[in-house]
Amino acid sequence: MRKVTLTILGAMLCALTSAQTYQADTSSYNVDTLLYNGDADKFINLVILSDGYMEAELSQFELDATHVMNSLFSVEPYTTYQSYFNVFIIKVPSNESGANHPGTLSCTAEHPILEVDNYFESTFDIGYLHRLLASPTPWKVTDVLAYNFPMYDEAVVLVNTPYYGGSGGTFATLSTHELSGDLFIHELAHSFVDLKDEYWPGEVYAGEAANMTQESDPEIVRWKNWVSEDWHGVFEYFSGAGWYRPHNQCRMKILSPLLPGVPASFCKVCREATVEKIHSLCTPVQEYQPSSSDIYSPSFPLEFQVELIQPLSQALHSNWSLNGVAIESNTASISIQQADLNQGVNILTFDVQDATDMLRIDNHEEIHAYEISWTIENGETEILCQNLNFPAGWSIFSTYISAENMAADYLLNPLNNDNNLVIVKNHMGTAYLPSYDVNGIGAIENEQGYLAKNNFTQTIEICGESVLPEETPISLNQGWGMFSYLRYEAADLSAVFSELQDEIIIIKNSVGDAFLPDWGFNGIGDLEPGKGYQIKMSSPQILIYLANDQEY
Amino acid sequence: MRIDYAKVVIFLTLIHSFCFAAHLESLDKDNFQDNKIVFLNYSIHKSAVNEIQVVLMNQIIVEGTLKQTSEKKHLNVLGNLKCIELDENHREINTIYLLNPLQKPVEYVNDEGELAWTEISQDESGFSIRLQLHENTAYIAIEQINDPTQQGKRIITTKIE
Repeated sequence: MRKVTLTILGAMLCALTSAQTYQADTSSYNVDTLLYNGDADKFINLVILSDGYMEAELSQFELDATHVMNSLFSVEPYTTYQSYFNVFIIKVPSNESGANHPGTLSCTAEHPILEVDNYFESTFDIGYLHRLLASPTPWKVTDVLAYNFPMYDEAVVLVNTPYYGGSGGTFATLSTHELSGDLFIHELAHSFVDLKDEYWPGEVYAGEAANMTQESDPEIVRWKNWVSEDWHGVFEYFSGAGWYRPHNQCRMKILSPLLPGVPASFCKVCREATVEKIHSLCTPVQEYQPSSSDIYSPSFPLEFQVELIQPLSQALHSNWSLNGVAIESNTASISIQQADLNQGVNILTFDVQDATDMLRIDNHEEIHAYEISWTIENGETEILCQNLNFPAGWSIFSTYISAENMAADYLLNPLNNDNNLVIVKNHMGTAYLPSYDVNGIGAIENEQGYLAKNNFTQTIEICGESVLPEETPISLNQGWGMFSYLRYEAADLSAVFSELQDEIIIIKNSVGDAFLPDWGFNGIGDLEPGKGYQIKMSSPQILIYLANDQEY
Repeated sequence: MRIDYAKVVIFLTLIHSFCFAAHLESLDKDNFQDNKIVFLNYSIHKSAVNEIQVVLMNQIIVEGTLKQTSEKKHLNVLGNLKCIELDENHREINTIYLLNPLQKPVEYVNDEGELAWTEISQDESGFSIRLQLHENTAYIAIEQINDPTQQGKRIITTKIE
């Protein structure tokens, strides 16, 4: 390491000059886990990157990063909610050990001037402020994160230097000095929770936040539920400031402990805001089984299980209820017997809320309630399958099956083999075009008939719950439309429409056969399952088929 | 160990010029590309006539899902930057706001051991953007805000590829 004469702003200029021809580092570095509670997409991911650690020092980096992590989780509410976090480290080796110190201030007696070839170029004296330690090349941090852990929620650079310093911002930076952890926790509260300072930061930096407001009335201030407890109140920053804070000794005001050996802590308002933030990123319900919310034709006993992230306080309170009646509390699983269910549709609900005493916001019970519900079809529901035949050319189809997924592109997907299906149109002329991957129809409706064009004849099977024809009214609008046939067996068209035939102008099937009531002519004969029909009405009517166990 | 605050000055920058730090809003994942995150690094400098120039350094698109994205409407003030997602026809899809990277707020501890703020002005700096890509995002544009109620001067438009 050599003495340097560059100022730090000069160093930043050099960094930016080289940035014009910047080549991103696409390297994969070792990403190790310090704390793992679950999948990165579900838990809050804190990522610590090394700077100023040579290859041989990376094991020390792991120890130092563990110390930082432990510092964070020794402070409430992070202690209680540690189970909501993952902590990872990215081991980025540097060519040389330590941090730059240009020595642009009169601080060289205790902190020698140093020039260090460290990876992120972390340096003291930024902006001629001695203890301001940061990377002047944050784009390098961005690149390493992008290629190694893009789903980070918070990232921090840990610099291998024993001198006190750090910085906040998008990527907090801290040294290994024992008090730097306090700076990091303060900065994390800014970047992670969006808390304001509780010392007077100046008018430019004042703003409405969880812990800062212009509202002075203790009855309506946003932290009104904490007023008068443990020295919380509505304190003006200074006389005439017009801005108020909830406490006088919060970590957002002071870094140092009030008394030796008594660590600084967040006030209860800041704790509450932090818990709110944690819940906004990571819900207490991580997994549940069955994963499908609709359960048809179940076999018994039915087992339900929910995986919760319990904070250290074990404050999650949960309830199971069946058809609105509470049946169990504070258990992660439940077994349902058929005798517990009503005939037909049943609703099983699991709700959980964080009953922590750290939360006192109004309507907490609603805001922090998380609910899962399952619909259980008991008894009468039966899964049936219907074959639909699609001849080559144009045809009209319909179905009495209500499948779990009725989207046209999903339901008719078997017809897409060898590009068989050309187009499907509904009565509005809206189309599903498989070759363009455009589904303008959306879901296939049981009440409707649909025009389809196929290149060759093919039969597909559709399975699901059968709709009850007697409970499925079909609207026949004035003018042209299409309708479905919902019964299991064919039925004489004339009989089906006997009560409506005065309003029917014509009904046609897909091959052009017609039913003309005014002429007493039925060229179609029977309505057939799986087929759809075109119809022209002189006035709007409702068609309701007889039940399957009745005959026309 | 107890620190002598009278001798120590600790400066903490809060460089809120990035899109993903605070004032986060939940993502409507239905409108986003399949697990695509874009990272953009820009350099920025002020010319002799106080014109801001921004140069793209690099662009990285990776698989992944962000839990939240930032909008930071409170930063829609004179001098800051707008980051706008545009579709193929340059129609605006989404806008987020960035603090001017050339005016960095700095938090420090004074000789009495109390935290305080100041601001560091620079002629040259850099900033990064991380975004969950919307399904129709084709370009990212950066504008300088001269009037919060008006469209600003577009400094750079980056094709997402």
